[in-house]
Amino acid sequence: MKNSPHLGELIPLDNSAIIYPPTVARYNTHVFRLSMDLTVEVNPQRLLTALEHVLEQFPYFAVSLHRGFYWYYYLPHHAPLQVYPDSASPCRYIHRKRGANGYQFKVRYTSSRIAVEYFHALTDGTGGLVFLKSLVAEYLKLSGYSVAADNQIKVPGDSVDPEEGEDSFRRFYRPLKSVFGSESKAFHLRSSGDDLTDDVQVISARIAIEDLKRVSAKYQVTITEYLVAQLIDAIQRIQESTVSRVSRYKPIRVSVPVNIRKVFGSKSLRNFTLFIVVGIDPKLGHYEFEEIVKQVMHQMRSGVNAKSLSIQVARNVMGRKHPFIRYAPLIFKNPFMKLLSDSYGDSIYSTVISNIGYVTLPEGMQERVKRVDFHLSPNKTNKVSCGAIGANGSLIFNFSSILEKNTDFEREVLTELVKQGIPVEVHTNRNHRFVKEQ
Amino acid sequence: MAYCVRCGVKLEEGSTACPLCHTEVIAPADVIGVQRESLFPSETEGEAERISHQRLDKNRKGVIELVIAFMAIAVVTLLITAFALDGTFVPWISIASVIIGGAYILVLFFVRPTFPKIASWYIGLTMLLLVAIDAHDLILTWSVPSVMSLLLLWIVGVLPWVLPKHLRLRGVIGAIVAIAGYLVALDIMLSGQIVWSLAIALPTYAVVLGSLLLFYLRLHFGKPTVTDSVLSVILTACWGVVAGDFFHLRSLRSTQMLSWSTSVLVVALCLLIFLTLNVTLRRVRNYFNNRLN
Repeated sequence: MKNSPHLGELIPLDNSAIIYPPTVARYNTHVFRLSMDLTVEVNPQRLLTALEHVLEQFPYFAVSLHRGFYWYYYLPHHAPLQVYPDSASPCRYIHRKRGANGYQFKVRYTSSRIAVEYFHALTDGTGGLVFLKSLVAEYLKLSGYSVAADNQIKVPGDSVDPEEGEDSFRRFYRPLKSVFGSESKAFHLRSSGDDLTDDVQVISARIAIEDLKRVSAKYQVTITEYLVAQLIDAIQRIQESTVSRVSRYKPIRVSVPVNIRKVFGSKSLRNFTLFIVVGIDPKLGHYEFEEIVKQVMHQMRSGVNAKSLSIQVARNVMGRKHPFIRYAPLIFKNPFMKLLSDSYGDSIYSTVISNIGYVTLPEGMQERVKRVDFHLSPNKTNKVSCGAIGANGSLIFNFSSILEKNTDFEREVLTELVKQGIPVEVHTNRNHRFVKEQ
Repeated sequence: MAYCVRCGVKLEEGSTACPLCHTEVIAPADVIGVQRESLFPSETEGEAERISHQRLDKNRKGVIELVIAFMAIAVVTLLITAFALDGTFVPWISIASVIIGGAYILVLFFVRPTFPKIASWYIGLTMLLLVAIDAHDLILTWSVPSVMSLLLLWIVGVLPWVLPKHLRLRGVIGAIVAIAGYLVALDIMLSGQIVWSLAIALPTYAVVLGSLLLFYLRLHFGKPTVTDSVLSVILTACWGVVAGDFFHLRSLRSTQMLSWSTSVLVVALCLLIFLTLNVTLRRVRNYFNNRLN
């Protein structure tokens, strides 16, 4: 008979992660990917050893996901680790039990790349980046290179800070009333339904940070704010060209995940990110780019403060604390979660952009990492997601799409950057199929 | 390394077209370059990962879970009500109805949406529902003929489509025999003995079948117009009515040939003459047209 888990071993999902397992779907894998391209060759066996060493420093990642009567939960997992060859497209579904031998992340490799794909219920971009940096640093050390100390790199043998595995939402929760607002549906890129693919289609733009800084400074905004404004402007052009009547125009909103660790002073490496939704209402008239930039700047800056963010923290935690929800069996909760995800999530914004920021690498790693990538999984409502990450003087701006052929959105954004005097270098995984058809 | 002439973006080495606008790169080979390292490897993973991925569909999963949740809520509520009312309310019919009602919806998600499969499931579930409702006193009464009718419906309407093509004729013959058997069984069930089935129903059925056979031959060897087809079906119905009246009078040992269906017979004969002339005149016309031209 199978041994039932000891109650003490049970790890509840953090308060933003509980939404992910019930809403995983064919076109919505909730997987994000971080990767580093190296100048040294990647040996899978050595990578596996590095993974075994590093995972000891991340006990909250060495877990398996289980379906309980009331909630999904984690249990410590000790199955043998594996590393996997890289796939033709990123962010593929990780099966709860069989996907990665029970783990909720998958380490992939090519001859010169180390990538980690995470199920979002495990961690967010910041936690994922710390893990990847630690893994690559350990790999380089095992390969005979020395890597300087860095506060974002966990070294095997060090003590594990219990705060890193905490659910910070619970710690920073303050009960607030009227936390659920209502938002109308936003404009979404259209699809006939036949042009959707399971293989995430990537268009990756490499842009020099200096060029972006120069243009952003002209508008007196940050790089993230500038990119968000470009996305909104591109979607506005698409809406104007595809929707015939102004009365049918829908709001254009972009969801921007915000790392709130610094705002609240958290060290957690599990999920501790919230979303700020910024946008315009084109029914009021056409917005010039300068107007969009101003809107984005004001909305983002007014949204990133502890008080505003506390409302979202309360929303995440309150649902879980409510006795009616807390003691309802999972089979009843799952459809409710899906409704919640649709009403307060995907449908209220037109796309998502997550900018991890500029990754600083310690000496020893800096010269051996050529490129860093970040990919977000798209979903059926928001068919294109954008991930941005900076390293080595470049910003890699990745568009992940489930549209097999349509690249209108990506083209609108990137050609506008070129028009503004920013050189853009484009890479893609669409080559294998589509470009050959030409 | 080339640039796209339309988008202005720099393309990766070895690109033969722009990934944004699909414009072909026309440049010397040394400008296009050779792709050293692709963004992702071209080989795909094992089929297992892809299949497990494809099985997921958020809406599909959501509706299934919602239906099961509502079914569970309804069943639990019924059980609690029965317990609270201390035996005065028997919940089993309601529970069976809820479960079968839910199954009607779930079938759409689990069964491949083809006519034979969906129809078979729906007929089967309806039979089960009727039996469940009728069986509250553990005696089956009215549900038996209803279930038989549904079974007949399945044999006639679905079975020929379930069978492979080369066995379809056998399916049709089986359906014809099943209808005859159903008529006899219904007679026995309603009257306790064979009363009208052998004397009226089966001969009338034979006449209708004969008419349908003629219609089938017309379909098979000619190309009837839509009007021809509709009129042929009406003619078959008229023959059925006339035959029913005729055999009914014979069973009563009446001296009359027909009673109320005489007018229908006139209509049938008119239709027959019209259809025959229609076919014959068209052929005659075609014949002379071909000769004259």
